[in-house]
Amino acid sequence: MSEFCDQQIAPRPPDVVMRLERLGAAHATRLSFMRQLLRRMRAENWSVSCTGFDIDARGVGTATYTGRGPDHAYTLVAFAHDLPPEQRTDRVIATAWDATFTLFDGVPDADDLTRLRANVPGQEAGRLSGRELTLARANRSTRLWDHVVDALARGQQPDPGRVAEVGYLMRTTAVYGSGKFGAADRMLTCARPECAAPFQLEMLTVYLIRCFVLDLVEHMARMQAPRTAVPLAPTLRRRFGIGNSTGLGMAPFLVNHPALLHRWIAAREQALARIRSQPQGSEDRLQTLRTLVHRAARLAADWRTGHPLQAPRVVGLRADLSLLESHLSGLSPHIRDPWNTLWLWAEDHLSVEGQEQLLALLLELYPDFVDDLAGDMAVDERDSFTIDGAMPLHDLRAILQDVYAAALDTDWDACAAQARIWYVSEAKLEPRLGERFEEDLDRYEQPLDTHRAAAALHAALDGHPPGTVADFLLRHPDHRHTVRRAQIAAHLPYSEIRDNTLAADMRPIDMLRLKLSFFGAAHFDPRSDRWVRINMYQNAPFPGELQTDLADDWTLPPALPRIPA
Amino acid sequence: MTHSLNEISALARKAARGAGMPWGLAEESAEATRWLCAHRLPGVECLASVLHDQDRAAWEALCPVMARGVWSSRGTALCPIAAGASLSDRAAGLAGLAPLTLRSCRAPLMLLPFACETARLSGHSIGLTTQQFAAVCTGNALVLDGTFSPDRPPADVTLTCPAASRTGPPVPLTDRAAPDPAALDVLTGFAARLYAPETEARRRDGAGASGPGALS
Repeated sequence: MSEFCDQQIAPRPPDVVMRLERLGAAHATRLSFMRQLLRRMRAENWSVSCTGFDIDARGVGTATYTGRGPDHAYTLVAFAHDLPPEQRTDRVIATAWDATFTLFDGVPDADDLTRLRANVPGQEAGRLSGRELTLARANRSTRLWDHVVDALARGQQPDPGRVAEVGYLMRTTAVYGSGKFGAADRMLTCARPECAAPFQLEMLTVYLIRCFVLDLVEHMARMQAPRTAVPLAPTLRRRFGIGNSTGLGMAPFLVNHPALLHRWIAAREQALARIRSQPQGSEDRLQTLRTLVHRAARLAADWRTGHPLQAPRVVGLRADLSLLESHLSGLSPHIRDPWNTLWLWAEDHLSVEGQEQLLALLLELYPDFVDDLAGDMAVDERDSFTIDGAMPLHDLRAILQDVYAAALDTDWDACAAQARIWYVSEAKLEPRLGERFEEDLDRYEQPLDTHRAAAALHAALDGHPPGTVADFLLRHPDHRHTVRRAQIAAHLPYSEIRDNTLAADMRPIDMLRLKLSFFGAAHFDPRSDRWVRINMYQNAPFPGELQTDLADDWTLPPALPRIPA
Repeated sequence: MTHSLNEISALARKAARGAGMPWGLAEESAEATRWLCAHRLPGVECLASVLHDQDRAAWEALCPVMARGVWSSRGTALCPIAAGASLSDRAAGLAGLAPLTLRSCRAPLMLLPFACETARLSGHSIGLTTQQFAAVCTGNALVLDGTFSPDRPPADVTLTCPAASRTGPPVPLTDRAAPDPAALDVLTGFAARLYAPETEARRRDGAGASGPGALS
């Protein structure tokens, strides 16, 4: 610990970090929530077992998977369905799926399963109880599912190229937690060590879904051809992740949880600052970094996207990693401040994608300096809810001028500055983004206009006599929401996205990617400016493999290609 | 059927906004409703009653007009959310003041979460007395005597800081809420005002998902 007590390099400032372009280039790190979960499961020697599997030849039935940690058991209850292809959509407005899931707190009995069977397949139309922790659903990748079942049924392995092209057999289209639809509130579980970090129950749900989906595809092959079917080869099996299709609903989350957003970013930035502050490196660490860069290049090589903005960024990332590889080959491990020197070089020579990838790789070099920060990534948001009414208005004005400087310089009369409007549809309450000046939606607007609201608050202060926030809010209750945000941002500097979330050129996928990178996702594949497909747990060990040496080193593909025979 | 407190909070926020409150006060409504439900008190019923009575009312009719020792409204009654938020905004200056009377306050139970938060901020207990009930609020506990019907007419409330001592067991907490379905319906109705009616164009363009299944 003493090495970073002398930390010289400050974390990157929020004006650099909290820009949408950079947030939208974030990569998974060892602080990501999937990595945290599997580290814990390995350290605590969790067991995971399939405790029920009753699925017929049409793929319809129920399965249960129970994970047991030191103090609690959690059971994934999976319902498999026979979904007509025309009903398969990833939209929130869907009403049927290939598979539906809940994570049960403990081990369900027969009555629990009967109750869940009546409620979970309907998803939002059903009701959960305080015994359930999450609710999720998934659809097959029809591109890959049929190919894998047919190959295995014939006694063959599927084509690795086709597996790489898609990367998953099912993709989740929603994973709900934290008290949604009647499920247990986070406050019920957050005191458990395994639930303390953010989204651990959601990540456990997806991890167990991956176990189920791979068992299911092998089961379907056996049902199709019991005499010839074979299971997936273990190395190929690990290449299947779980896809995820994420839409606009995730973007408001980051705006609506400013204190939590700060914690996530602050942990990551503190980790980077600790490593940049190391006065000395070593040949071993430099060699580790070279290997990591090589593996990141493999990940980038497999990254498929046709999105007109993301595709060239992936090409740029590949070039960055190539440049980084050659730069590292000539780097001496004996220079002073090697990692900071490298970082400053990267700021000058790599794209934002490349810089953020390098950040993730540097964090791998010093697990002991990074992993303790994971404990700081959760927060009780009520601690920052109450407004400080005694704050003098000139202090509030100073906060606005610091945090929202760009907003105060924006011409809000220009249509492009507030071209977009965030709203919620009456159709299954789907979050949406509209064109403000083309539709009559103002009365439905959600409070995601952080920059415009800050500018309006600043203007209102101009017309108010000196005094306190309490005096001001008594006359201007419309600004209460923004005063709260500003006060949070004053002491949690990474809490606020420092870009205009209403701008005509704003891309919601930047917000989605940031959150998904903290989950630990890879292969971001935007399908428009407002929804994205990703892969979760690709290359991750299965429960029986958690105790192997590579168990906490799975985010990047292996250094050497491992093609099954 | 029971509800999670997160569900209650999310619904309360939308309902308060749907009834015309600014977002910041809708957030206060949500937190107050959740807090009451967590303390086994009729938070949903109180908020439904308040929103029903002051649907789309102007702030000027709801907010406290502060005179020495008395807060009153220019309208028919004080909004407990507006009064409660103003109370916690002034937490730093409350200790040791003469008793404060809130004249004709709707659903006075809704003041309790604000009083407890104010007590936490100021470091002093707050006593809160109406004809229906008497409470002692501290930063981490609530002691309450009386009856708590949410549909009583507005009542005067007296606050003292610090509270006169009162003994009794603190109100126990719960993690589930079982509100009156009729009150839930009231909140659901207000919340629905925030949802944009469906049109084909919005359905097609709003989520940016033109044919997501086509490439599956």
